[in-house]
Amino acid sequence: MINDYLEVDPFASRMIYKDFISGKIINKYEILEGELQPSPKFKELMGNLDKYQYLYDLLGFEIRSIGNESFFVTRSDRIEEYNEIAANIQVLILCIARGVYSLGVASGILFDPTSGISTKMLDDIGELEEQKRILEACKLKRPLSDSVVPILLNRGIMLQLPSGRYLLSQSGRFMFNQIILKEELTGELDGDTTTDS
Amino acid sequence: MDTNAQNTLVLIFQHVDIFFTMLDQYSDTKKSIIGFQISAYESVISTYVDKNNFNKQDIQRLRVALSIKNLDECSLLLFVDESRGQFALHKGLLQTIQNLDSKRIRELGQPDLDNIYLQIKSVHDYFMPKAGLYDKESDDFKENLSALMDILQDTLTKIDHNVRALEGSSKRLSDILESHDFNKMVMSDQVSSALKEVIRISKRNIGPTLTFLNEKAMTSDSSAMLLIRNIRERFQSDGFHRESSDIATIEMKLLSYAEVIMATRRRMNQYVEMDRSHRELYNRIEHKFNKLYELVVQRLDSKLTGKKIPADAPFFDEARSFRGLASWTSTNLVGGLIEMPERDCNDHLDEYLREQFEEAEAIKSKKRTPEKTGLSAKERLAKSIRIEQIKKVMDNFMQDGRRDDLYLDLHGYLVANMPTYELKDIFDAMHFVSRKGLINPTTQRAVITHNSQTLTYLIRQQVSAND
Repeated sequence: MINDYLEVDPFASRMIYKDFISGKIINKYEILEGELQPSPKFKELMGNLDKYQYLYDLLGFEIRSIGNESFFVTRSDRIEEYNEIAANIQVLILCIARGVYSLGVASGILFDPTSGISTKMLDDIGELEEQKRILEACKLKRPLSDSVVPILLNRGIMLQLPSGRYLLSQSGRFMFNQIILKEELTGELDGDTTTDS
Repeated sequence: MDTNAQNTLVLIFQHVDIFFTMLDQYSDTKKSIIGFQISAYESVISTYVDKNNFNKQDIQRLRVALSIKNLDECSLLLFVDESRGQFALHKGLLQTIQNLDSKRIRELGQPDLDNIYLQIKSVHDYFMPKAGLYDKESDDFKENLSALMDILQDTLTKIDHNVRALEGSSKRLSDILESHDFNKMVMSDQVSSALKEVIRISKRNIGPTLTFLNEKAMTSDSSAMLLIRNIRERFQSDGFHRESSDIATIEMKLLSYAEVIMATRRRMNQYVEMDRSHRELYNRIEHKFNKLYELVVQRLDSKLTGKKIPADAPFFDEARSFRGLASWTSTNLVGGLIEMPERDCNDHLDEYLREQFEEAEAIKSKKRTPEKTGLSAKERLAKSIRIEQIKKVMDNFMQDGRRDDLYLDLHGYLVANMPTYELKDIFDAMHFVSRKGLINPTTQRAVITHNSQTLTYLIRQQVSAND
């Protein structure tokens, strides 16, 4: 078999190809048998990254990493052409992060594998006045779950738990941090709760 | 039915803060509390009433119930000395209140610690300048030595009391805060007030006490612990071994409390940190979300339907790591990997092809090659010469007359006149047979054999045009 020559896992390589070509991000962890577990695809990719990079390069693709914990493929000659999905991911995550606070829940729910955000909560967020206007301006579908499934779930930004709730994957967390934690605030934080010790 | 004494007792414990204040006042000056000043007691009640916005009836009831006269009537006082203006609570009641007092955190804040420092400083200033030249028998020396030990003992008691109360309070607040899910943004009033109390205790109590006990701060002259150490070292060098040993014991105990308070602070601080980090995260999300919302509002048109925000807007720069993420379905996949500039002139294309020529040759697909023409120039020349020979031989061929088997006649003629004749030459010779006569094909077959070659053919007959 040809793969014997390359010393890569023939089954994992097919799964990787399937995900990459369908525009899905491969994350360090994925839901396997109902639990959040290390991804075999990610492990295979990391173990033979140079070989996969060479192979996909031959096919005209480039393997890009997101924060060293997730990968996707693109064509370097078309990166700027396909930036709409990236923008939509940013909008959706920002709307959801702000929305959970409006529902009286902290954003930690998006990271907790024992919790996650439900479809109903997502749809409720999508109906909040400000979120609704933003989604319309970005031509994103409502109810919000109709946008979240194709853009976040099917692309590996979010994972779906057996309970049907959604959780941010490694790439989703990266985006969350990029969007929110990178923002520099000066003099706006409330210092009431800080101790003077 | 409740008696007056019962109701009075209930009121005492409902407003026990009045007696705590009294205890606080007296604990600063005396080790054991025997009696309170009546004037001080009444003043504390007035301040308490003013601070707590009670209605008129409650104030009236409180003043009557807690009056010295009523307390005395209810047998709650040990004694009342009107002439000296003093009174004392019944021993059992006082002890109960003192026990309750030890469950609350005393305000051992900066003013108290400053007071302790001044007390220590005064005895320090007495002992240190004498440089060991003490008159051990003088009353002055004995009094100062006694005062020193009292102050140290009192400080130890206060810190010990404070630490135990702090631990109890920390546990109570931890229980409240542990019950709160910090993933929930909305806090109950209980949790919220617990968090505020943690912060208050930390600011007013833990911080100053730690500073007071901090060993590192001992290098500065303003440290009480440094003064204690100086006195101890002086006593040790001057032969006061028992006193030095007592001071060392208290000093070590005081320092050991620093560890306990540090642990309590760490435990309590984690809740404050958790709350603070949640607030900070929320503020960041809110800030960014507002920016996006502003962007949307700015783009609203007159119909309030809004225009789409372009995906390459600077706001989306933070999503740049995800740019190029797309589904590489057949449409995207088969698109040309090489795209030429859309310009009329072909300069770029020509230049590109010139650059890529070798590669283009290498990767070009295998094409169907044209069939060979068959003969080389040499062979064609030889054939031409041979045709010329046949033509020359055929010039003398009798063209007229009838021939029943034209091929056989040609064969016979060529065998006789052409030394190099081969059987296949018969077909070339056919072209030189006169076209004047008619050549009719027949269905009869015949065979000619020559030089081990055999030709099987359909017989053709030639008839003259006149026939």
